[in-house]
Amino acid sequence: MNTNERVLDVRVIPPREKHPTIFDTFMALEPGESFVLVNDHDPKPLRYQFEYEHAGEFGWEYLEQGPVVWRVEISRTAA
Amino acid sequence: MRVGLSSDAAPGATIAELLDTCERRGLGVLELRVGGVDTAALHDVLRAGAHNESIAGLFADDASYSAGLVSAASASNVTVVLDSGASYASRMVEARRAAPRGCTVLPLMSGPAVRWLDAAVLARVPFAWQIDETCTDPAGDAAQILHHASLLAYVRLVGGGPEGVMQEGRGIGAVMKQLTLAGYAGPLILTPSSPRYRVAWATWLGRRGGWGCGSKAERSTSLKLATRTGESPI
Repeated sequence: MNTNERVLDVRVIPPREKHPTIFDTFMALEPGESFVLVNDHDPKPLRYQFEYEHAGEFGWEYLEQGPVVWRVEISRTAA
Repeated sequence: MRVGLSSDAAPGATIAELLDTCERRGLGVLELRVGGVDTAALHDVLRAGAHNESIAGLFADDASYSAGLVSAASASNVTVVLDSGASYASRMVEARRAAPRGCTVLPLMSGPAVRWLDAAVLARVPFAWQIDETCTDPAGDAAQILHHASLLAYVRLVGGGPEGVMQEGRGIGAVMKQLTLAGYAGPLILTPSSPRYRVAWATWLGRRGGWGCGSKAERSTSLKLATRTGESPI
């Protein structure tokens, strides 16, 4: 595992703060940068929200898809 | 960042049970409280070295501190977090004094960072940061601490896990964002704030699925009803 990768484990975050924290983190990225989201379920609704609010501005790559943990690399693409 | 579990979350569990629980819950590392788990078993685990990657650290206080155990941890390259009851400044001195050569003993720092961060920076002492009820502005403290990110070696979140819902509004999300953007790669240990939440923790650790975030995960166990070929649906 790359120990320098940026990891946001949202299992630690109170439920109502999860999505705002994820989007705040995303907005703080420079184009080309990314972080790995860790969650305890498939964050499909989050992806829909990204597609709605940031269409064409983000990358989404599953690194692990359950059954216990989901890891998704979310990147900021050039605007 | 490696999110893990304190053995305080499951009092009475064996180390093997704790490691199994971490794996089942998708938690990457385990913190073992000295005195909270069987000491002989702890020595055996450290000596065997089979789980060193899974053990984030040993957590000791003044009463449970043992030079022998710290040496064993050192030989296994396992970090020790020392919760000394001394003043902030002397915690750092205590941690240095308690560390055999080559061993990492981190002083546990809690409370507002303004009270202790300058001393840690001046002494260049890596530390464990505990976010608990004495930390009144976790996000503000994180911002200050991460100006000296190389010294932050360990984080404990008291009241994480199933108690997380009660942390709303405290700024834990903002702390996580800052740790992420700073590339913090150390452990973040979830631990109960009080024994009265024991049932909640036991329930949380026994679950395999998620708590959700306002959305529902697909569950492989959910039933799908299908009509047979050639028959009309009822």
